[in-house]
Amino acid sequence: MAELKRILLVEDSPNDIELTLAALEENHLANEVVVARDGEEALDYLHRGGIFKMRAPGNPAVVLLDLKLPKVDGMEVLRQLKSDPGLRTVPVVMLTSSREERDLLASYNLGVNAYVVKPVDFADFVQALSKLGLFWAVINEPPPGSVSRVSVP
Amino acid sequence: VQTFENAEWQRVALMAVGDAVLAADPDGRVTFLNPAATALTGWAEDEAVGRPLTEVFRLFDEQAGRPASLEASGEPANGRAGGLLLRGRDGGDRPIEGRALPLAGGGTVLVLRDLGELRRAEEAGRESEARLRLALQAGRLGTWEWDLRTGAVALSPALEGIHGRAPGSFPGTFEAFHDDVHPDDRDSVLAALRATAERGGTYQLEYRLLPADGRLRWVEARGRLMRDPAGRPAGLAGVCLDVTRRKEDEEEIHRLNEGLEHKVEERTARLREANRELESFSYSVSHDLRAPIRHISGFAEMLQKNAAGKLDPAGERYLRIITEAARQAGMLVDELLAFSRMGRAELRQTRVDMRQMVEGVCRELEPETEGRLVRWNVAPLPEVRGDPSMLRLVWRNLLTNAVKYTRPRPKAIIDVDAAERDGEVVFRVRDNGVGFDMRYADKLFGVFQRLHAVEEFEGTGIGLANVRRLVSRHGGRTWAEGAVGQGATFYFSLPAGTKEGE
Repeated sequence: MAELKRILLVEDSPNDIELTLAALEENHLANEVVVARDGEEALDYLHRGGIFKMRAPGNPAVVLLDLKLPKVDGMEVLRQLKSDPGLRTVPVVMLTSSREERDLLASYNLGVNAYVVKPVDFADFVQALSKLGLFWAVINEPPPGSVSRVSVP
Repeated sequence: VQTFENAEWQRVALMAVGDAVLAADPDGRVTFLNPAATALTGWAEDEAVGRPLTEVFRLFDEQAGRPASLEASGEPANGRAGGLLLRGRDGGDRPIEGRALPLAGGGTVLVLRDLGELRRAEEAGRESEARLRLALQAGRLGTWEWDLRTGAVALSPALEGIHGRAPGSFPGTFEAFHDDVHPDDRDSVLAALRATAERGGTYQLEYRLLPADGRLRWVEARGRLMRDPAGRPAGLAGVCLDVTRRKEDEEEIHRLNEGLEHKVEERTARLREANRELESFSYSVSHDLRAPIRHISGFAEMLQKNAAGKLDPAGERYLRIITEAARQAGMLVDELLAFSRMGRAELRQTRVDMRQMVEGVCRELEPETEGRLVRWNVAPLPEVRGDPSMLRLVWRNLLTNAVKYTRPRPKAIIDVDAAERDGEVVFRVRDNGVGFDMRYADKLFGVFQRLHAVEEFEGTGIGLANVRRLVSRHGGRTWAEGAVGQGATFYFSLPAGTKEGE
């Protein structure tokens, strides 16, 4: 019986959301995924504000964060997360199309926990997402205060 | 006559004096001539003695042009006549002054002085003064004097002109001079003049005038302290050159230069802006173009999985084509991005062991040569200074090509060597592959330029463009030689200065 931890996926493209969920589903990791469609929604979720006012407390085990997002972009979400004492410990993985050096550098400077460039090839994409999901939602021990539930396989 | 013979010293003195002396008896005949008189008249003493004085001593009035005479009288002033010409024996006229002194016995003594030298000196003086005046006027050069005892300041007419004043209108006080100087320059001018007045020596100044007429002028001034015969400071005297034109020209040049700099800055800014735009373009390409390609590839793959067995062979084929096309498009975008990144990346130069690098790349290529017979001949290669990641990419591209285009050969032979010539190190990769038509040699290094069909040899057409770009960023060149079916040789050079240990 594995403990399945919550994943916050911040992604604006519906296609990417579907592909990402499909890739995670290959390893049955899709159930505990919460999707935020822009940076503002992501911050609302994490701060339990806006439409997420009523959600139960607890942080996700990992945030999969796209860089290019409407309203508040990924870099700003990362900056706010890492400068918030209550959220600083939440692992953040950049999941992006950009392998630009400045994005890499800026992300790591802000304290990102991992940086993954989405592979164009779908097989590679599925493989990358499976590994990511397995590592952060199953293998890695998240900081205290993360939400998880016991999965029924 | 006896008077002269009486005393020898008198005669010797007469012979030695510079003035001409002639004597005549009461009958008007010459009795004596000293050497100066001989020089003046042209008559030797032995020839002249006994002749009428009027023959030896011929006088003309310079103005009137007619014969004149020195009236013998006891008054010496009488003889000091101006404008007299003496016509010599040779017919030439010489200006003279002289006196006729009556003797007690009825004779006459003439004492004459040749004025030619003096006249010439005066003439020369006038001429040089005129020349100076001309030079002063032509050069906008004025002179000035400051009498330290009276405090009076005198400006030459030219300097009055430079001061924007009518000739003769300068009040003659130091205050007036001081007031003409630009307010910002007054202190420094005063200090310099004072220092020269107190310590002596010379001064050299450049200052602005802003006189009552309101026209700004630039003046370059030089001068020095003048002393009286007793050595006490008497005044300052100097020349002032109007350098307004020069200053204006200088300012114009300065202005033009600044304009030029401004233009360069403007262009540089525009270029930077264009570069920034290009960068943001490639950035958005990486995000916006990669995403839909990924989606096509992803959904095609999922369709294939879900529809397994439900599609007919044509449908299966279409899906494969979609997947392959998306893969190809993704590769193109990725390589294009890498190409643009390499162009913008900073050159990080260190020592690079080229032999070690080539051997490393060869090992990386082993999976691609599996099951093939490939013979690598890698000669010793020099160490160079360069960016290791860029140079590695150069080798990777060239060696990948060599492996790729020798694929049809039962035994591939790839030679790598280097030679130094004409100030550069030239590296060479030669293969026995399919080669290329030299007519298209120039196309090889262009972006997206391909000489083969994709079915024949895979690739995007960016590899060699990248090689050229990376090599040229190191200050080197790239070129190729080949023939269809006879292999290809690719060269790249690096400046010999980049070779390590030199």
